Amino acid sequence: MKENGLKKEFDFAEAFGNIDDRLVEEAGKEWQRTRRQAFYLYRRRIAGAAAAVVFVILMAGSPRVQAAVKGIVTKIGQIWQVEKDLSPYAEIIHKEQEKEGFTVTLHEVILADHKIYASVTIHTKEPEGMFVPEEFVTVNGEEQKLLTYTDETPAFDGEWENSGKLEDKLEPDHIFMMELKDLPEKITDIQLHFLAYKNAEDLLDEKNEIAFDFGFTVTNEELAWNTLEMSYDKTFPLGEGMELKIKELVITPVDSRIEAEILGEQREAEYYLEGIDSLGNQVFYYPESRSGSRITFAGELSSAGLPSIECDWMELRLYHYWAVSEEEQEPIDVVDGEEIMAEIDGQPLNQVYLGEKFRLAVNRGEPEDYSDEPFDGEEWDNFVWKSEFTAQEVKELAAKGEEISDLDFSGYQLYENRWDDEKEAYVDEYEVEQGFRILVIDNMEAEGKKEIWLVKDGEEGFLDLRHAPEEEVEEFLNK
Amino acid sequence: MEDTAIIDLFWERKESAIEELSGKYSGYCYKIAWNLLMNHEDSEECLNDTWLSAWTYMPPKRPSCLAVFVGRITRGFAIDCFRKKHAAKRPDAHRADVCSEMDELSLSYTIEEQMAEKKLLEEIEKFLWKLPKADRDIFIRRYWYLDSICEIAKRHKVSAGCIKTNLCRNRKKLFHILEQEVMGQ
Repeated sequence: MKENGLKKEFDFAEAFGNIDDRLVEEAGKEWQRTRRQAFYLYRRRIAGAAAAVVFVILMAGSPRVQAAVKGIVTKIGQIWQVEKDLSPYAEIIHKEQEKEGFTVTLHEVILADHKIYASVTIHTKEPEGMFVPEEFVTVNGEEQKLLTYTDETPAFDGEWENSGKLEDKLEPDHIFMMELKDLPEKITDIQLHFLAYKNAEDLLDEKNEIAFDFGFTVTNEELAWNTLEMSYDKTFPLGEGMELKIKELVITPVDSRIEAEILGEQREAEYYLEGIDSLGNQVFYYPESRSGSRITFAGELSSAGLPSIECDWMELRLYHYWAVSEEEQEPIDVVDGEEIMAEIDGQPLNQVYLGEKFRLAVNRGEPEDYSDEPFDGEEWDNFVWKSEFTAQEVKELAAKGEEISDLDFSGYQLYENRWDDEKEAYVDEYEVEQGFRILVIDNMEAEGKKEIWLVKDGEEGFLDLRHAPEEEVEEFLNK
Repeated sequence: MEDTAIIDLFWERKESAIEELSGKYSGYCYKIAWNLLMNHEDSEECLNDTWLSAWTYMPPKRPSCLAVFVGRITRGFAIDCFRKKHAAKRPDAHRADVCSEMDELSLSYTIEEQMAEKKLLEEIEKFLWKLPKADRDIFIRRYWYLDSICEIAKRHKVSAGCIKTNLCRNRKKLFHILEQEVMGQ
């Protein structure tokens, strides 16, 4: 602060040097993009050891790998270079506007969760032209301020050394992700607003803004169809007194997140979730943010694996990972004589899994036929999964006798599904209150009947519920 | 050598402290000085001043983050050096840009307003914490680390125009906040 007579001057350059160490430290680290986290799993031949990287086995935002994908229908898919057909989830707009040397085309829009993804192509001969979204969008006639936005272009990945005059080039294809605090329950119309500028100086005066506004309509049904939200209260043991608590899952066609808690942790560490969904998609969730024991895990379409919004379940496992040197790195798996290695932003990783694989039921059901009846969004919102059987329900099941072999338990949360070598059968486990479990044992033979066992955690012995009289069930449950 | 061990050497007044410190952080500090001065001799001089200042400040200081501590000293010397050298003549485009951008956020006000620098710094920090992570990174890379627009664009894998727009918008927001703070006193 300098004093000059009665005037004082606040010297920003000097003062900014004194900002909180944590802010400076954060910006001093490698920048990790929130989209397309560069988390790679790759194979190497066992014989070749250290440097023999063969190929990336999971898509991890590698443009060169993705560039080979053919037949992409949407512009969003083209820009992200993803194989998945996003057209069922997108509003196809294809509107073009031309103003003061800028031609702007809004191709399509995907509304999901509280985000709006818009694919836009901009052509201009202005050498220093700029194009940005306005700081708000208009939903049902009301301005909603953007929490944040990202602007992704396909052109800058991997080709920096030869990209020429970066300063002066406005890339034509963009995906703008505009995040709102919330989208209202009933949406009828949306207006997206963009601003073009001929150069940076024009930013200083609103009179120089060239506005591009695009309006379109969406229905609640379409928005609901693009966002699957489920609440859980499931806790999974991780060993050494630690537990993973899953609280919420959101899946959209383009991203997913899991709200979870790590309980009983001795000291803060880094984790990811990996697994598979019921449709065979590899699923990968990286830790997007953390606050104390709470972690938000995020998965992305263009990253190492996203569950399908149509899947029935996900089977996941939690991994603890840490950075190591190449010499210290160990494979996470061996497949077809090749070691699977992992790295994040080029940094080799080692990891160990914690606890067993667990399943999350994900039920979106079949699409409603909107032409016959209005979609009941409330029905979805209020749908509650049963996390476990009650003792009374077990007794009622047993009373049905052999018939229970054919019952469908899909309204209950599946605890675990595994292949049992000894029984040569698939075993589905469901939790029952007071530390019991129901095992559904299916040997997959056409005429074979599924066995339904009641077992108590940590104890030997079982009760075959198909043939157990009422008193025996009562006695077993009172163990 | 671990930062705590280097700090211990300073506290023990061992001359090897400066050697260890410069060995570990000369690249980091040189980059900050070079970003603004773009001159080898001037940048080296800033570094020498930095090591001497560190010797003066430690003890009594025991910085929690040694990198930020020395980077901050270098940045201060680099800005002083830049201002002295370019008081009379025009610097080149990048340096003029980053300085004039920072000047946009400097305010004058009368002494009766009793505005404490500490309060304005708090407002700046509050503003930074509220920014989306990417915006915060861009702002701090530009005005603390003094990175060029092109370097930040590469770091964030977006166009330089996008970074310019982002910085301009956030400067405007911050100026508005600082101005309100001053006027509101």
